[in-house]
Amino acid sequence: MKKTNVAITIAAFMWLAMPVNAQFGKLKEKVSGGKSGGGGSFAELNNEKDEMGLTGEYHSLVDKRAYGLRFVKEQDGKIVNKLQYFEKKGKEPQMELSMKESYYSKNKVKLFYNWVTANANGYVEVIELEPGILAQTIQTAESANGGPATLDAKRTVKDVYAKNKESLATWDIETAQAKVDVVLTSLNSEKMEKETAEWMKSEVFAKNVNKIVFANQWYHLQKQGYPHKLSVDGKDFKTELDMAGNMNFMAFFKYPPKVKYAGQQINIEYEMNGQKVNREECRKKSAAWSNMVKILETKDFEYNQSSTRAIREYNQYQSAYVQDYAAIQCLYNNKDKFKVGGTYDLIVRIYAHRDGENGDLLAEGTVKLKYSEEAVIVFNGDPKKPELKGVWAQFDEFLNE
Amino acid sequence: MVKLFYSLIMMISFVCANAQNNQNAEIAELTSGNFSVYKAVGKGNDFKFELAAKPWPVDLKKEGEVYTEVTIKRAGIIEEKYQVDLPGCPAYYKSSTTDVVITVIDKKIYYYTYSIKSGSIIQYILSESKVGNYNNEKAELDDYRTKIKILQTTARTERIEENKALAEKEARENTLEGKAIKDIKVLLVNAGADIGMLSIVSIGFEVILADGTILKTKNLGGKTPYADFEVKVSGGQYSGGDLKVANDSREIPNDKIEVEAWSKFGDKKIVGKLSHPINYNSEINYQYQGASGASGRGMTVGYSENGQDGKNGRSVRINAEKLTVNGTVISHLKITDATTGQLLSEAKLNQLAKITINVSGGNGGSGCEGRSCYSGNGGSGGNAGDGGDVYLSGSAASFLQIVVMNDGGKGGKGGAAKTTNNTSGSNGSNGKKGNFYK
Repeated sequence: MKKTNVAITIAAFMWLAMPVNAQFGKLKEKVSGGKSGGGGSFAELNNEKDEMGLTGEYHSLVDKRAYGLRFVKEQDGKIVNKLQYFEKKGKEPQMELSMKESYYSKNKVKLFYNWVTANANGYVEVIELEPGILAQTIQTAESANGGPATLDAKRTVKDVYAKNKESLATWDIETAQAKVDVVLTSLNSEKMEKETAEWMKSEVFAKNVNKIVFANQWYHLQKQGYPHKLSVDGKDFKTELDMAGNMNFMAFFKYPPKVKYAGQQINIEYEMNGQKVNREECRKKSAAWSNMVKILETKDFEYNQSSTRAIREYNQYQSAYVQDYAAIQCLYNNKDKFKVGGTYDLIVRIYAHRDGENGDLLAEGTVKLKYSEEAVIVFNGDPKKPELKGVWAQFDEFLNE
Repeated sequence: MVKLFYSLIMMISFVCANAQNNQNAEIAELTSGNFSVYKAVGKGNDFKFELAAKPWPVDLKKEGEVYTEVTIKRAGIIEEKYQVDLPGCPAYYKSSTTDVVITVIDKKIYYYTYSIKSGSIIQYILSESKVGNYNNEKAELDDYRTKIKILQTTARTERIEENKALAEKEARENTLEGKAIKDIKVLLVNAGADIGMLSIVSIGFEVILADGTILKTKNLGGKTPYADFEVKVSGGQYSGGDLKVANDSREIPNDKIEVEAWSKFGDKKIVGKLSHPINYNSEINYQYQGASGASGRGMTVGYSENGQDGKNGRSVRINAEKLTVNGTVISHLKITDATTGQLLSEAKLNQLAKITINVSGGNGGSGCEGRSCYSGNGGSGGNAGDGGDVYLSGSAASFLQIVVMNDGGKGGKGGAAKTTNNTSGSNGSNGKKGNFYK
C-alpha cells in the first residue's frame, strides 16, 4: 500500500513538473548552444516602453531567430525588476530572469540571471552591452548561490541579441566578450574597493594594513575556515616570540595580491642583523632547496589577509615540526651571535615577484625572537637525549645533502 | 643621458639576441595594423583555434631601438595597453590591470596568461598567417619563455643592480648612521583614546638632524628603519614600531607606558622619551584551560594507542577592587589559583571593558585508528578534563563585565577498527562544567 502511494506521488510530481521542465528544456538547449525554440515575430513588443529600454524584439546572432524580451518593474503591487524571455508567442514567458539591482543602482550595469537548475550548467545570464544589444553568457564553475554567479566566475558569451539586426554585423561573439570583460572588470574593481572599505572598518585591519603580524599559534592570527574574514581581535598578536615555541605570522594587504598583482609570484624575505635571506634565491640554489621551498603565486593570495605561515611550528596533523627553510637559513646565519636570554629582531617582508625580481613590497613586520634556555635545547639539541637532533644539526644535514 | 641609456639597451639587446630573438627583434618583423584573430576554444587540455569574425587593430610603439608598448584594440572597441617587461631584452608585454601578457614569435602575436608552474594558457593568436594546433603553439611559446629568461640574465642583472643602487642611496639618506642628531621625538601614531592591557600601539620616531633635516620611521611616513633605534620600554614589549601593553598590571609601573629611544650608532647623548598614561579600556582574556590529551599513536615508540586524558581547567579566585587610576575608576583584579593560593596575575580593567576567563577542561585525545595500531583494534579515546571553578569577590565584583568559559572538555573519540574482525576503541567521557560563584 505504501509502495503504491509513493509511486502515485512520484508520477504526480513528474506530471506536474514536466511542463515546467519542458519550457526550460528549450532554453537549456539554447544556453548550451543546441537547437533553440525561437522563431516567429515578436515585433509587437517594440510598441511597449519600459524605463530600462529593454522591452522589444531581439535577433539572435547564433541561430538568426527572433526572440521577445520584456522588462517588468512591478507586478501585483510589488517591485520585481525582472526580464521576461519569450521563445514563442503567448502571454506566459518561457523564462524570467532576476535583475542584480545593486549592479544597476551603483554601476548602471543591467545584468539579469536565472538558475534553471542549481548546477553551473543551469545558469543563464543576460548583460546589456549597449542599448539594444544584449550578451547571453554562461559560466561553468559555480552552483546556485541565491544570487547571480559571483564576479570571480569566468563568463563566456554564447550568443548576442540585437533589436536592430544590422547591429549584429558589429557585435560578433568576440566583440561582445570583450565588452563583457570590461563590464566585469569595472564591477570587480568596485567590489575590491568595497571589500577593502569593509576591512578598514576593523581596527585590527586598519592598524595593521600592509603589515605582518606574529603569534605563537596560527589560530591566534586567523580562525580556521575564515581566510576571507577578519576573525581574531588581535589580542594574541605578539611582538616577541620564544624561539623554542611556534613562530607564526600573517600579512594584511590593502588589496588582495591575486587581483592587484595578477599573474605574479610572491617572495618572502627574512632579515636579521642586516643579513637577508629570501625564498626565491633559496629555491634556485639546488633541487634539495627547490623541494623544500615551494613557489608561491599571487593567485593563492586572494584575500586581504594571507594564509597563516610559520617560521617554525609544530604541526599537529603531521605530528612534526614544519619550518620555512629560508627563515631557518636566516637564523642559521646568525646562530653564532645568539646568547641565552637575548632577543633578536627578525624582519619579515613580503614582495610581489616576477621573473627573478622583487616588485612592490606588500607587507612588512618585525618581531623579537627570544633565544631562551628552552630554545637552546631545541636548536642545539638536548644533552640528555643525544638521539634527538637539534634544529641546527638537522639543518646542517640538509645543507650537506 | 637618454642616448646613453638607449646605447646601453642596444648593447644588452645585442648580447641577448645572439641565440634567440628578443621582442625588439621579433616585433621589428611586424608593422602596426589589423591582424586576424584566432581564438582558443575548448576546455581541459583540449583546445583548438577558431578564426574570429573580424580583425583587431594592433599598434606597436617604439622609442629609440626599444619597442616599449603594444596596444591591442580588442574586438576593435576595447583598447588594451601592454608595457615592456625588460627594455634591454624583452620577453613579453604586460598589463597593469590583468594577468594577460603579449609575446610575438615568428610574426604571431600571442595573447595569453602565464604561470611559472604550468606555463602559458593562450587565449588568442593574432596573425596574418594560419596558426598551428593548440598544443604545438603552446609548446613553442613555453619554450620561448624558458629560453629567453636565460638570455635576459644580463639585462635583468643590470636592472637589479640599478634598483639596488637606488635602494642603497635611499637607505644612506635615511639611516641614522653617521648623522649628527639634534633631537629625537617619540610619538604615538594614530593612537585611540583607549589603551589597556594587551593593546598594541604604534610608536614612531622623528629625528631632527643637526642640519635641520627631519627623518621619520615608516609609520610616520618616512623611511628610517626601526632597527636604527635602541628602544627601552616600560609597560609592555616593543618591536618594529609596535608596543604591546603587558598582560599583567604589575608590569605597568605608574599605569603608564614609557618609551626611550636613541640611535644605535651614537653614544646615547640624545634620547627621545614618551610617557603616556593608559585608561585600561581594553578587553582582556586569560587562559587557564586544561591541556588537551595527546592522540593515540600506534606503532610509535614511546606512545600508546589510546588517547590521553585531557586536564582539568584551573580553578581560580578573582578579587576585584575599585581603584582610581589616571582619573578613571577601574577594577583592580588579583587572580589566584583556588587550590594553591598562588598569585597568577594582576589586571586592571576599565568599567566599560570586558574580561574573559577561560577555565575550560581539556579535550581527551582520540584513540589511534586500527589501521595504525599493531593489533588492528582501535585505541580508546581519552577522558576529557572538567571545567574549573571561578570564585569572584571584592568591591568591584558587581560591575565587572566578566565572561567565564568553564565547560568540560569533550571526550576523545575511539579509533575505528582496522577490519570487521577487530574492535573499535571506546569513546572517552566528556568533562563536567565548572561552577561560577559570585
